[in-house]
Amino acid sequence: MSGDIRSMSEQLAADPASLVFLPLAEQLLGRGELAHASRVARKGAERHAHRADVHDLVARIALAQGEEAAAERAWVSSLAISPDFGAAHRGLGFLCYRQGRWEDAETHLAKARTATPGDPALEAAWEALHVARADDSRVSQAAPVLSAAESAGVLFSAQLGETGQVALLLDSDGLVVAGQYMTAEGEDLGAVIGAHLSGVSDEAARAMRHFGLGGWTRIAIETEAATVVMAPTGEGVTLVAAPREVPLGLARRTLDQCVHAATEWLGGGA
Amino acid sequence: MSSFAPLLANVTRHRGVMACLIVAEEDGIVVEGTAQMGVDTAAFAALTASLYRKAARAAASAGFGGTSFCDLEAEQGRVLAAGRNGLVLVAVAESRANLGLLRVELLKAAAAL
Repeated sequence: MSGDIRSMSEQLAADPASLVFLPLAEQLLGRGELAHASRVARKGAERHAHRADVHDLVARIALAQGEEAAAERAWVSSLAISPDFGAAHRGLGFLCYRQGRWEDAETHLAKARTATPGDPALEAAWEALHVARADDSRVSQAAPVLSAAESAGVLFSAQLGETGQVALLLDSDGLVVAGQYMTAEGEDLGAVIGAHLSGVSDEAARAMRHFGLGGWTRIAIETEAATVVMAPTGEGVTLVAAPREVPLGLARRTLDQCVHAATEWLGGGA
Repeated sequence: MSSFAPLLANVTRHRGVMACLIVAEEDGIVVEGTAQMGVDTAAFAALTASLYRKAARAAASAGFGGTSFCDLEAEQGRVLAAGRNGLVLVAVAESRANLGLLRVELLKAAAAL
């Protein structure tokens, strides 16, 4: 272990909330110690979920480990915090290019070029992308088509990223229509959570009718373990539960994005 | 002046707050409160206490632990509630009210209940 890494590790152990995990994980990534880098970065991301650069670091490490889906989720989290964050657009641009997702690649690379004009790697990717797009046959290599059940399970993956939040779409009876609430042990608690919390929306509608404040648009409940935010979606409810360390504003933002995704999904006749 | 009066005053001084009450969580009975004309305090207290109770019980049953704060947003206003020791401090506010400030004020006031 180099002196720098040892010193930063000691500093992090003494103050787990410190941002020293960023250069530490970067150095570990640079040395190819990917598992160690990933542990450090993910722990940091739990504490500093509101920082776009932290999710970018998690994404780059995940990509180095060959975990493209995890990398993409982390970059999406980064952009949820900072929509113009160049590093995340750069990463997603390269990733989408590699996967043959030309339209997505073009969108992200264009934004990355705006954020970092003159970056030679971006310019090379931009040129290569346009050569590749000219070949129509490659455009047909789209993402695999998911079954309805699979797409329901992963409906909110892009919106949730690596922030530790979970999301469910519930019908008017509190039954889970889409999304998952997985525990660390791999148990899906979606049905239990949905059954308990969907009744709150009925109570909210009743109260709002009486107060004459119009229809309810959002509920936030802050508890010891989590912040739960809900919004009406179609005839049901979208629910996001976030760990307490996730700021309320970020949970509300995630909820808005999940409602949008759910509305589109429902509109698509899923 | 009751011991709760300063707590209520700290909340009602914020722009857009139409009513602020301290309510018994279990039965929705008003303990103390102030409201603008036109707000039916008894009904408001009963409904908000019921909502808070329902949210707190649902959250606890779902494994999230005790509830400290609840915000119900509607098209033309919002209802906020913060509870402690069987009492709930509830406020009804117009949409223009500053949620961040009101949340801090309610949590601070609830800590003194």
